[in-house]
Amino acid sequence: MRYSLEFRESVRDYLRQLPLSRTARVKLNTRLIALTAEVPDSFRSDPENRPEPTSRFYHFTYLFRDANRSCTLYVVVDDSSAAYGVMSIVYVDCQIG
Amino acid sequence: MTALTMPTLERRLFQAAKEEAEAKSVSEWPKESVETCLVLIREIRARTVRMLETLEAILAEGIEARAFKRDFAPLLPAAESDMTAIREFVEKLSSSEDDASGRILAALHSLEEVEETYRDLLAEVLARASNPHPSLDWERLKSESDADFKAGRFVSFTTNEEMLEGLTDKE
Repeated sequence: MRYSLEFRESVRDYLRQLPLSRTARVKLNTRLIALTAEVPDSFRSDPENRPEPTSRFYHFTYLFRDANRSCTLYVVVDDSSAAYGVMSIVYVDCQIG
Repeated sequence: MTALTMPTLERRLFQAAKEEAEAKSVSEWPKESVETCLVLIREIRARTVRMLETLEAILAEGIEARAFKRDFAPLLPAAESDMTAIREFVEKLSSSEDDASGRILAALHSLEEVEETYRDLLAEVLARASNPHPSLDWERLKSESDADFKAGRFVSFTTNEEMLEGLTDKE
């Protein structure tokens, strides 16, 4: 199933302001879309990917490199509307270098 | 795609060359054996460069942390072991002053440099992949997120392209 994505405005603004090269930002956002809009149910339901089994959030960490800097993006997604085909990205934190 | 570890055959051949240097001074080796050893070290270096390039390409694309840990953690012990073997070989030859030892030593230093870069990058990213998730106040996140939703402070995109542009187009 492919989900529609929605972002908290604060998350969108944060992603747009990351000090990354444009190439890295495009790749990052492409992968972010893939890891949320096309996330397999098995990934979301894996207890390792949820803070608690009954939580409405799943989370994951995405690793990448940009200009010889290692970067870590932590993402929290609210999947409580997954039955309606919607995933909401509610929190991101990027550690660069 | 290049496999991200040195094949067993190359590893055994390298080990055999190191043991030969321990058993008999390189200055006493036949010229052909010195050349064979140099070809082997250069071939291993070329392969290690390809391994490094492959790892860098994977990281330039980006990868989910648990998948990276699952697929790449088993490679680190081999990279550590290769690094140790190279340094032992370097150590063995470092006090020799003959020309043959010098040539092999130069090739080993060049290999050591690339192997170290590969091992360090692998170890660094694995360490990042092993870090626990940040500690969050989930109740607070829930209430703040709900408040944003009620206030209409969410954005949605219809297509991938629109989404990509919306997230990327800062300049």
